[in-house]
Amino acid sequence: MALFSSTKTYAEHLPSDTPVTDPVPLPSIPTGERAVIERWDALPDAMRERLFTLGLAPGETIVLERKMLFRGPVVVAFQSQRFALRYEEAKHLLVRIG
Amino acid sequence: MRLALLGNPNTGKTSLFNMLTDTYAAVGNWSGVTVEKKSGRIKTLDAELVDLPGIYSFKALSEDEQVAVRFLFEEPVDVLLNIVDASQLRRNLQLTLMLLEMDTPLIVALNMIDVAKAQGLRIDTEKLSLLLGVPIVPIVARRGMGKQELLKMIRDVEHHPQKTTVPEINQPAAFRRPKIDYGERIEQAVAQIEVRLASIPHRRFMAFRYLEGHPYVTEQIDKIDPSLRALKETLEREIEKQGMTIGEYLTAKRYAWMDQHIFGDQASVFAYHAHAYADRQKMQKSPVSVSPLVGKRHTPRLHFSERLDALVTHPVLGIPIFLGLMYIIFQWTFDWLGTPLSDALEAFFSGPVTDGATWLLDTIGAAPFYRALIVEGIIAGVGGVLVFVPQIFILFFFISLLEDSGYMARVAVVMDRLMDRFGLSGKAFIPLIIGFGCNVPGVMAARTIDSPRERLLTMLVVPYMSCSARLAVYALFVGTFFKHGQGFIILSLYVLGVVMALATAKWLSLSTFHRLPSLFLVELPPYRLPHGRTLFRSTWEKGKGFVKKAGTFILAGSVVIWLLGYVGPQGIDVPIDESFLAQLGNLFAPLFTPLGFPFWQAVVALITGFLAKEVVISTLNIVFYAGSAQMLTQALYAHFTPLSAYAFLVFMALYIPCLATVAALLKESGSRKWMVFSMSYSFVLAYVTSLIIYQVGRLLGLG
Repeated sequence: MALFSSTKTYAEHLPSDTPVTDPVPLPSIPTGERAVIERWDALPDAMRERLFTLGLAPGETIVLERKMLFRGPVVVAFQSQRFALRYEEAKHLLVRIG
Repeated sequence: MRLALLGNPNTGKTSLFNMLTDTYAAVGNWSGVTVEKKSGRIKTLDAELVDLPGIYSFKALSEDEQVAVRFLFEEPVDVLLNIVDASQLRRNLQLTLMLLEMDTPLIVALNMIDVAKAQGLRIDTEKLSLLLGVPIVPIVARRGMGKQELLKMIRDVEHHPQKTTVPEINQPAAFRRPKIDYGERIEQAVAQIEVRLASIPHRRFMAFRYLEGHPYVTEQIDKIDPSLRALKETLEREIEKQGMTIGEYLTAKRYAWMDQHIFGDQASVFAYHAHAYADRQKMQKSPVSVSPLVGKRHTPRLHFSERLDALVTHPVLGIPIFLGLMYIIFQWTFDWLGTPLSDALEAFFSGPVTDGATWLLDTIGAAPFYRALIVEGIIAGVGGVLVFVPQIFILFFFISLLEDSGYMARVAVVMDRLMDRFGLSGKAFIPLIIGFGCNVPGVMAARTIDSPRERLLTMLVVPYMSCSARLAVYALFVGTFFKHGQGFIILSLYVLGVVMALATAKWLSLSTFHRLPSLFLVELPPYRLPHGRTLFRSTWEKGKGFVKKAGTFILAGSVVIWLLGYVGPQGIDVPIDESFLAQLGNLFAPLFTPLGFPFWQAVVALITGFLAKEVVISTLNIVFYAGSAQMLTQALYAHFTPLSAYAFLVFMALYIPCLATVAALLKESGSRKWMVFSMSYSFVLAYVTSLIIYQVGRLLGLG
């Protein structure tokens, strides 16, 4: 048995009753909404590793607290931490509301 | 003995440093207050304590994080003091678990237990200490709580470096590491690497950093055994199939371990990421089997911070609120409090101090030379600068208040979109605001910016922020020439500086600096009520440099300037218009004809202003021999019109940064080229701007 044999992503392991709509970019959900991160493959490596270290990963719940005007930074909360990241990066966080 | 203080950003490292060492270092409530390592002594232990910039992990992204990581790799340390924010325990312990792989004894200082308690977190420190295998001392660094306990613990660990004072775990460091299940493959690889690293310390730690791909460690280990690379690459490929890097995989393992053993959650998201596929199938939400060492929060979190943020980071109101705050700060600094105090101080210097000194010198029968030197040189020069102490301290008080409250991080967020248009990031805003106090720490604060280009760009534009020394010159001129709207005129000079900074940034980012995407991740810490003592101390620490400079640099400068004005080609005690000083000024004076101040006094003031901008005041006081504000006012009236005075101020606001800032620029950019660029560009910019303002003003009939 190979230890690392899975090529499936987190999303593919979700229960089958999960709706089959595509996840949406984080900045597109309404302010104040709670969502679960499903994929973040397109996020730059350095950002993904840093967020991972801070305790964010696909499957974690995130709250979109604020969106600045003109595609400015977004403020997110997870596990009682709050961070701001740029729209350009936040759009690579693909989430599902719920 | 040497201790290193390590922890996540904004966990109170510097507060703890101040608590243990009785010295004072800058404290603020934003990530990146400490950009350089600072060293202090713990007197009672005769130990050295090194305060390092905060890090989240060993993958350093910015220059300040690099400082901490490099220190840990290169400098010998006897004890690691790991400060952990109790209110952010899970994320903080991620770093702790990595530090535990080192061979150095470690003490955890569990900070902000008051905040954690207020949030309803109960932490079983005794059990946690057993689990981690290291002593844990609860502290509240801001209020000095836990100091004695921590000192005692450091002493114990020093005497028994291989042991801890937790009796159940009197075992050498290597045996008391928490058993984190990294999986067979990882452990095998680590063991294989460790064997090759027999000659270096912290083998296990280094092996992990090597697998993560840490650049420094990779370079070192490649030198020892380049063949390890193949091993690492195989592992990398296998883990990649799960969509993770080795670093992420190890992080997931540590979180999974924590979630299970500390937080009582066996089926966390990270447990999922940490498990191999085969195990994932079996994973289901199982009832908690381990009782958590950390009780759940029961109060709604960060109530106050969230409400305040709803206002200050409001998409529309955020910027107006920031500008309004700045306006109020300026009003306090000048109109409401600073200027009245300053006037009182001025009356004191020109009245009792001058009279007293004259009387004293007459009584002891001092020679006329010394009398002139003291009254016309030193008191006029130094006193002229000291008069501005109130404004400067008030401004520094507000900057400290902003730093300590946590508002700075919000400003970075609110301003990011705007700054982005000019090739800067919102993070650049913090160095720029600090630059209003003094450009030197402003230039240094640019270290928190991870992209080297943005960092250099920020450093180059910080000097256009009018520092407190220039403020003193503005205050002098504006008080003389403008009876109404003083605050507005001064604000216009600040705004001009900001506009020039942004324009310069835009120009450079379009021409020389091709924009690379940079990482923007700014933590918004909970707001904290600024602590009175910390606030006053940090105001004093920032402002004391100004007072100290007045007593040393400006004192010496005043003597030299006075002497140059006292001697001339014809001998000593010449009329000042025939002195060496006048000759020096006259040499360059024609250059300033188009700007409206072609007389040697102004030119000499600008030249000496390179030493420190407030020397401009000392020089003007001496060259016009002004014993009192009234005399200086009259002399200024005789030479300047309101228009040429404004042109002079504009030149002052923008021209070559002072000596200390230039030195900081050289040190931080590591490039003579950029230093020379900054100096010559500033001069041209100041000249052209001042020229336009003076000439346009004349056309409009203002001068």
